[in-house]
Amino acid sequence: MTAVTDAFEHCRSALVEGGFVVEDQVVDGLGDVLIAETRYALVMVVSADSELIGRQAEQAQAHLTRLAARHPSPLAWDLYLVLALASDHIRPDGIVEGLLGDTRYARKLVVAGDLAATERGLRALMPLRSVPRIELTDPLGAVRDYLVGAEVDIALADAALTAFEASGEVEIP
Amino acid sequence: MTARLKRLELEGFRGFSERCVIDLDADAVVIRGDNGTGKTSLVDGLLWIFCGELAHLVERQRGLRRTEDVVTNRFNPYGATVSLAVTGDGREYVFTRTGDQRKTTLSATVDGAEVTDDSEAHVLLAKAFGLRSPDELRQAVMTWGLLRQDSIRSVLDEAGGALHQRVSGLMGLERVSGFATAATRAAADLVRQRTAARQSRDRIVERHRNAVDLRDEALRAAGRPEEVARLLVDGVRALAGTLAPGVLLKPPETVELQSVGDLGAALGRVVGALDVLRERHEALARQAIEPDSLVADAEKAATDAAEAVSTASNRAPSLVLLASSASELLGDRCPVCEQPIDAVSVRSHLREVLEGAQDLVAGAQAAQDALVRAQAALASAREHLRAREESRAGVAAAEAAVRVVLADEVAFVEVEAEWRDEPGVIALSTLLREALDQLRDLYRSVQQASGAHVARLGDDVDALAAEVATILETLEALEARCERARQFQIVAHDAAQHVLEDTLEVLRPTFAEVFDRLSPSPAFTQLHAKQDVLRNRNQIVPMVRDVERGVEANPLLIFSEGQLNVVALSYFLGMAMNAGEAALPFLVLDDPLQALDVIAILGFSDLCRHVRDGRQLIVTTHDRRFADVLVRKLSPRDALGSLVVQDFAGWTREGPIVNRFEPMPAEVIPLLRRAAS
Repeated sequence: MTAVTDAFEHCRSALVEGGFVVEDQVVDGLGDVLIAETRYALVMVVSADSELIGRQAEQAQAHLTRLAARHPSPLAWDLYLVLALASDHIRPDGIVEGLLGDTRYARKLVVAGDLAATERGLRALMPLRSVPRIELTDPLGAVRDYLVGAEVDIALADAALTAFEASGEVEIP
Repeated sequence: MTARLKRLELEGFRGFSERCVIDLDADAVVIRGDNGTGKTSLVDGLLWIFCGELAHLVERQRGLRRTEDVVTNRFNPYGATVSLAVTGDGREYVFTRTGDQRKTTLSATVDGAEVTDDSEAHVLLAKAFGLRSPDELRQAVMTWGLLRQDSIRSVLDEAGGALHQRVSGLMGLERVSGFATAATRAAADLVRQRTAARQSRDRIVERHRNAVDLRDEALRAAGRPEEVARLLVDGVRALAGTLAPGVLLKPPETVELQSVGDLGAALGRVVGALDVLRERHEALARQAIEPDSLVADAEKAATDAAEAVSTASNRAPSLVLLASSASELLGDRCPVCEQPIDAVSVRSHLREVLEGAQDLVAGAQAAQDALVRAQAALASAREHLRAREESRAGVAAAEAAVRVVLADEVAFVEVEAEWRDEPGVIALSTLLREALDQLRDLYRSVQQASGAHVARLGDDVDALAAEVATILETLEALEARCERARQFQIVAHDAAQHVLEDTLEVLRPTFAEVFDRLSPSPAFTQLHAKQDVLRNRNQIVPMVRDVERGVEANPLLIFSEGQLNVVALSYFLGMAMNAGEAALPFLVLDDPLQALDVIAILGFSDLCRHVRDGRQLIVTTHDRRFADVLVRKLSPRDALGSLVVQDFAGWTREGPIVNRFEPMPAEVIPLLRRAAS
């Protein structure tokens, strides 16, 4: 049994932020786990130790699939097991790579580090973040602003831009 | 804009021979089928509707004889028809494109009202998808609306050039790049002008230098009078020595340039007089026929004509008599002897009279003509006689003139040779003309050493100096413009980079948003893009970063093909999600997952679920495994969602065999709630 890691708590924050309903459970052999779900996915988060991660993953996956089998629904199509490590970084090795590549029963994700790193590790589960929109309505106006800011002679800048708008060519007087 | 693609009908188009209707009316449409079952033809149908051409197929024809039409079906090559039904803003649109590779026409109906004008239909099509023009629609579809399977990697083509082009297509940024490029062209053009001006300057300076050298050389020569004198004396003596016996050229007593000029003028006058004499001789020679013989010929002709007239006059009375006799014999009997008249004999006489009269008339006419000719010949002969006399007088006058000139110019030239007849005149004239030409050459060479020549060379130097000054002034102005253009070009590119960088700054999280979900590499987990300008060519270079080690790399150089497909998809979807006002309400992905592993397939399927929340998603795949995962992931979990699966089960010459099914919503009661209850 591994003590609750920081990454475990970061997962909680990220999943709540991502619209998951989250519930704490205690599972024999695994200790504190987090069950999170949306209409599309069922997720289980466990704290994991780098040395024991293989066995911990097996135990956790067994619990997750039993849980999904008890309450049949399309959620069983999308099971995710998140292994939250105590270390700052994930050190890819054969075991971790094997876990990440094993998608039978449940897809496995391994997270570690700070909140940002954990969020990035959980990105596959998260809804698309709202991204800032490009708000550029007058591209040549932005060019002029830059030219003037760079102390280009205003008359020269305007002459060049005017010529370009008229003919697609620039003239340098 | 809430437009949604509802239905696509294809007939005679690509792999669709007979009419086929494909239902697209769902949030997500999965089109699955093995290779060659018509999936890509369906995507091409959408592309043809929106763009009016299949540029990628036309590109494949490059270098081939165009014997096949890339639009029409091989088994139904009588023109293609593709119709797209669309709903949007409460209106029902149907757009129909007909034609072939060479010519297509778009028509439309809006709530049942027809729009038959091609241009209006194109504008309507753009507006139905919230865009201002057909060009904007085409740009949007090609750049972030529809990803063909053969163009996935093209996002990364041209070492970042294609990515730059696509990003520039957002929000009209291509004008920014265009401005920077135009500034480069302007600078290059000025550099060319400067190079030409420098070459021109070098040529003029060289000419000026040569002119100065010539002038200085002439000045040095002009500064030595004894040199000039020696040239003159030597030249005239040499010339005199070359003349034939009988002609004496007398060198001037004073060795001056003017004296040589006077000698030349004297020779010129002699030659001129001889030329006149020569012409008169030639004119006289042309009148070689003796006028006396001409007169005799004319007189003989006149005599002959007079004789002919006389003959005619003599014969006329006998004919009159004969005719009178014959006419008296016209009764039955002879008035003299009372014998019966022989009518045959009378007619014979009369015929003779008639023929005689005709001959007489012809003879008289011929004599008359001969007389006229003889009179004309006589007049001509008299005129010839007069002209010959005039020519003789002309020769005599010219001979007199030559004698006068020779007498006048005896100080310069003395002629003892015979020159009275024509050959003599020709020989003397030729000899003196050659002497004159040699004297002129001598005059020129001496003159060049004189002050006048120096003055002319000085004028040349001054004129070239003025040209040098002008070209230097022009060049100075050009140098200044070049420097301004060079600096402006740099700032213009900085400006374009700055504006583009602002846009990239917004786009980078979106690129990463996609890339992070597909996890193609355990080390290089972050995707971004950076600008570069190489040889005046703007690029957006793809970059991946190992966050833990702080190492960056270009994925084009380190990633596998499958990983690169993930990179390309990330950029494409990133742009599709952040196209702002130019965003389309649909996204068409034609077999996007090529050479991807299971993790990427799962990640992409999850991503599709999120993408379809914001726009209609149409995905085709040949991969059954991916199709099944996709159908499972995209199946609606409530009545609001919808998914249509079009199963392309096979293909015949009539077209694809398509089976449609629609998974029912699989309602999910949350596990946690059920557990709690």
